[in-house]
Amino acid sequence: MNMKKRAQWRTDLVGYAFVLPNLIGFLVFIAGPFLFSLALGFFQWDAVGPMQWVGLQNYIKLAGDSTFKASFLNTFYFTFTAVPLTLGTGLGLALLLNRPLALKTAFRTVFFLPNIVTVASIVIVWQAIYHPTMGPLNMLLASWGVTDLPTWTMDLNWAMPSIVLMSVWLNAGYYMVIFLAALSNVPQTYYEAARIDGAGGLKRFLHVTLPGISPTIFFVLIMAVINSFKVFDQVMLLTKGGPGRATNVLVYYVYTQSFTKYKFGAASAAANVLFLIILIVTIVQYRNQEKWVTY
Amino acid sequence: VKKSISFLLCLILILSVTMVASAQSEKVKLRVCIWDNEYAVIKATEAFNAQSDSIEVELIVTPWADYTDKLFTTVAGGDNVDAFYFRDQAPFYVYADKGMLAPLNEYIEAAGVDMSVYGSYADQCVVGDQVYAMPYRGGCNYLFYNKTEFDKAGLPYPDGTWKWADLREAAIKLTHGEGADKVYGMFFQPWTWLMIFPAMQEGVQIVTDDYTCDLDNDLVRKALTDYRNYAVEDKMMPSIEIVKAESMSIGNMFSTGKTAMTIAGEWYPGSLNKKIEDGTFKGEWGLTYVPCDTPEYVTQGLATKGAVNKNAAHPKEAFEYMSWITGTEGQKAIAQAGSMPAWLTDENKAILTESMGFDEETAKVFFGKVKMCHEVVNLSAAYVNEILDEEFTLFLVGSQDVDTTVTNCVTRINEAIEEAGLKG
Repeated sequence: MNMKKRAQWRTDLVGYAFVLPNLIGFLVFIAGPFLFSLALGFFQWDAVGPMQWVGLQNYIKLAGDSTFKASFLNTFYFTFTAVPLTLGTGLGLALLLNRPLALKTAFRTVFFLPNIVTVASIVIVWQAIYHPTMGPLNMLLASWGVTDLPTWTMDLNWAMPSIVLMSVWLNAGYYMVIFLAALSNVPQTYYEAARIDGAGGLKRFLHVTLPGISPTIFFVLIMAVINSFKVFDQVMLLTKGGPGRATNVLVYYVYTQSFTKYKFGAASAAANVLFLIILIVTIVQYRNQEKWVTY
Repeated sequence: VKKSISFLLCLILILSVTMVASAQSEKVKLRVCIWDNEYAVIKATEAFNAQSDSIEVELIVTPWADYTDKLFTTVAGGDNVDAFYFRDQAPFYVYADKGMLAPLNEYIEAAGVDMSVYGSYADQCVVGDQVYAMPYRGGCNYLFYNKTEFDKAGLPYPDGTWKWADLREAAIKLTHGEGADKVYGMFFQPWTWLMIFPAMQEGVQIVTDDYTCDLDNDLVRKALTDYRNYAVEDKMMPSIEIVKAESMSIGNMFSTGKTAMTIAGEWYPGSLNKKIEDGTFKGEWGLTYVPCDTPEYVTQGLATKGAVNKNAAHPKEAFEYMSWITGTEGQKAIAQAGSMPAWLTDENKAILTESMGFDEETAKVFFGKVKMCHEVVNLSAAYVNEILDEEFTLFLVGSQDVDTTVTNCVTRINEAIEEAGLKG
C-alpha cells in the first residue's frame, strides 16, 4: 500500500511540476496584484509615501466625481453598442464564409488580419478615415449629399460611435473565426431534416443554426463583454478620452488617476468597481444561459 | 643581471597595469534617466564622462513618449537610480512634494554654487525653502516666420513690435492654397497655455501660488474667443479638429512649409537648422518677439531641470555630476549641442550664435532678458492641464460657449484643489 502511495505521489509530483511555472506566474502577476488592488481601494496611496487607511472614502469620492460618472456611463455606452455590433458582424461574416465560395481562405485571412496588427498602426489608418475634410468616410457621405458632416473623433456626439466602429472592425474577424468553427460542428442532418419539414432559410437559421452554436455564442458573449468593459487602447490612442470627456472610459480613468494624479487608492477603487460590474454582468449571463443555450 | 632586469621590468609592467585597472574600477558609476531626443544632455554627459576621473555616468535612455510614466514607476518603485531629468514641469512639483527628490541646499552651499546666475530659472527649482533641482536648459518662446512665404505675399517681416491684431492681419494675408497645398498663416501647437497666452501676458495666472484659480476673467474669454475665431472665422490657422486628426505639430507644420508662422521655444532653431542641412526644410526662416499687447514685453518660458533621487545610490556624486552639467563646462557643452543653456554667459551666447548661424538682430532677440509668464508651476498642474484640455476642446469644437467653458474650468479646478487639500 505504501509503495502504491509513494508511486502515486511521484506521479502527482510530476503533474505539479508541470503546473508550477504557470501557477507561480498566475500568483505573481495576476492573483497578487488583484488582491493588492482590492485592498488598495481602501487606502490613500501615492505609490511613494506610507499607505493611509481611508475605509470607504475612495468609493464615496468616486460617487461624487463627475469624471468617474462620465467614464462609467461611457463604458456602458461602448459595451452595449460594440458587443452586439461586433458579434453580429462576426456571425454575419462567418455565415457568409460558411458556404462554398471562391477565395474563401483569402477572405477569412483578410477579415482576421486586424487582429494581428498592432492597435497603434490601426489607429493611424482610422485617423485618416475619420479626417474631417479629407477622410474617405466624409468624402463618401458628401458624395451622397450629406451636408452637415460630422468631425468624428472631435465631435461630442460622434466620438464614441467612432471608437465603436473601429472596435467592431478590429474584433469582428476574431469572433468570425470562432463562429466558423462552431458552424462547422452543427450536424448537416439537422439541416436536411428541417429542409424536409419545409423550413426556409430564416427558419433553419433561427431553429437549427442558432441553437446549434448557442454554447459558442454564450462563450463569445462573455468574452466580448469582458473585453469591452476593459476597452483602453483605442481610446488612449484615438481620442485620449475627448473631446471633453466624451470617450473617457473606466480603464482610461484608472490610468489618469494613477499616472497623472498619482492617486493609486482612488484608481484601485475605480478598478474594483469595474471588476464588480464585470462580475455581476457575467453572473447574470451565466444564470440566464439555461434559457437559451442548448448543450 | 639581464634576467633580473627583465624580471624587474615585468614586475613594474604588471604593477602599473594592476594600478590602472584598480584606478578605473574605483570610478563611481552613476545611473541617470533621460529621454531619447534630449541630445543636449546626451552630449553634455559624454563630455562629463570624458573629463571625470572619479565618476562615470550611464544614461538610461527611454523613448520620449514613455519617459514620464516610466520615470515615476522607477523612482516610486524605490530604484536607487542616482539622478534624472524632468521632461515636463508638473512632475517636478509632485516629486518634490512626495519627498522623491534629494534636497540640494547643503550640497549647493558646500560646493559654493551660485544659483543667481540662472536668474528666474533658479526660482523654478525651489519648493518651500529647499532647492530640489538644477536648471540646465533655458526656456523662451519666440515667433518663428517663414521668410519665403512673407516674400511671396509681399509683406514685411514681423519686426518684433507686433500686437496680436497685427499677427491676425498678416496671417490672414499669408493663408493660401487648398487641400494638400494649403499653407496657413499661423499655427499654434494645441498647448492649453498657448490658447490663453495673450491673457497670461496681461498677468493672468491659471492657478496662482496660493492656489487661486485666476481664469474667471474677460481677458481669458477674449483670448479663447480670438483663438477659436482664428480657425473658424479667419481660417488662417487649422481648426482643432484638423490639428488632432492630422496630429499636427510645430515640427510637421512649420518645417514643411505648411504654415508661415508659429510660436515655438528656444529648442527650435537647432531642429530647423538640422532640417535645412538634410534638405527637408527649404527656404529661409527668422525669429522675433511674440506678439504682445502689454507695454512691457512678456513671453512664456520655463527652464528644464535635472534632480538627484532621494534614494540615490551615490547622492554626493550625483550632485557633482548635476552641478557640472549646470556649471561652466556643462553649459558650454549644452550650447555646443545646439540648446540654450540656463546659464547664459557671453561665451555660451557666442557658441550658440555661431552654431545656429544667428545674425546680430536674431541673437539680440534670442538672448534678450525679458519678462516671463508661465503655465501652472505648482502641485495643481497635475489636475489643471487635464481639465483645461477637456473644457477648452469642447469650446473649440463648438460644443459649449465661452462663459460655460470658463465657469466649468474654474469650478472643476477649484474642486480639484480642494479635494487634493492643496489650499491652506
